[in-house]
Amino acid sequence: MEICVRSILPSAGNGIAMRRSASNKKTLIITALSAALLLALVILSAGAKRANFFENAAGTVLTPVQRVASSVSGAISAFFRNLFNTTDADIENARLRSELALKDRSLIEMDELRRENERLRELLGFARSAGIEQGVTARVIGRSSEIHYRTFTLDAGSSSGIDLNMPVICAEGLVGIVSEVGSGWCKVTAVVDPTVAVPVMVERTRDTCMAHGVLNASGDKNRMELYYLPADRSDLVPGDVLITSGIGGAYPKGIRLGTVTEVMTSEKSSINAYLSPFVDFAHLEELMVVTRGGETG
Amino acid sequence: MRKLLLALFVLAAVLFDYLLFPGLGLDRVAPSVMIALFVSLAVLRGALPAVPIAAAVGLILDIGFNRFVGMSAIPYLIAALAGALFYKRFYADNIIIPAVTAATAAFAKELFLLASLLLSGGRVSGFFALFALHMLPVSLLTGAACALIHLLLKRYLLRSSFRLDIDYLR
Repeated sequence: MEICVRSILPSAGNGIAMRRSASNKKTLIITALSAALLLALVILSAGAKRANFFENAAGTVLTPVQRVASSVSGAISAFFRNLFNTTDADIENARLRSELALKDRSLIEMDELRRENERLRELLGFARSAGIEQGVTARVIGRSSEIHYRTFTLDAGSSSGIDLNMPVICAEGLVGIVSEVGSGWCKVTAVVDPTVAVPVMVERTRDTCMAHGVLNASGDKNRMELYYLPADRSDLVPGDVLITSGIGGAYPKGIRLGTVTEVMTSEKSSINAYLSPFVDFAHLEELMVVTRGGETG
Repeated sequence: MRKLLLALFVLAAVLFDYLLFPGLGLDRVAPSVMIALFVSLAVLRGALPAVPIAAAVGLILDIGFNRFVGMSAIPYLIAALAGALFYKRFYADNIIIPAVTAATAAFAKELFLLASLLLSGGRVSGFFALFALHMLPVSLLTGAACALIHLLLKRYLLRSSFRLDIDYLR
């Protein structure tokens, strides 16, 4: 029996090696082709663009799924946040909230609707004050998972009148710009994205400069950098408010962006100052895409 | 049944990576559960199911969430391929191999994203801080996540735990 096994094994071993070799070659070819196809897609999809047929179809199918998933994830996140709230006030608050929910669920729903109404009113009031004539409100249904790029997906697209490079705002200020649009969805690149630059001016001194998003792993991840201030910038102080200057025409003039947090005094530094945006990018819900209006520089 | 379980694993990974971690503000140090899953799947089942699934899921997620097509698909595909290199070459009980592979794949993904960002004119502040506070923790946590996922997956998806599959001898 032992002899028999020994006589079989070498030929079986050769068979295994041949099969593995053929399988490896096939895998390599498939992978090389897939990688080439993906690279071509990367190159084709770089930059602002309208979605092609396949992207549009996939995006349209994904939008309702994302909407539901966004609501579910909101509930799960809230659950975990509550779980880690350990102070007495938080525990008391959680208990009261739980009691309230048990007593009257509809009251909570009404409260949610009231809050949404308030947010939309604030958004509308802000849009009016910034001279924006027409806008489309949309809900955030997805966000990029990586810190390298800061992108949001909204549940409104070209069918609602949204087009590429339209600015996006919320009640707190400027959020970003539309970078990709499908029929029922669009993607917004946030102003804090490391590839985005916004022409701004200091509200108090009217000095124009450029605010740039930056990828930083430490400290405030929404921090932006300020460049190209006039040489004599000694009067820029922390707390100064920055608004869009309207130069270039991409963003309407006068939309609030953020406040100066730190002024760089070193002449060697190309950065003039750091600023913190007004918008809380982690908790965005309803946004307005500006489709018409707003003064430009 | 296996396909259904695999679909559930993928859905759970999407929920963690794209909805839960960003929703909780953990995106700076969150592991890539998708990479951990695809590496584990490739180590257990080989390139044929893992690579196409990784590429397809990555493409769909890129269209739905990401800045450009290929941003997730390419790293997922590479992770699956890296995992497939160890298919049937080690005992399935070994969780070190998939964990190290997943950590390496996650680090490669971070490098790929950083390179794409710099090529597209993005600004980066503090490369060392980025390495120490983001890239390294993400890679290590992805490795740890892969070890956990591998323990779960091998229970449900593994055909054979032997290095030399008996099927070849038949």
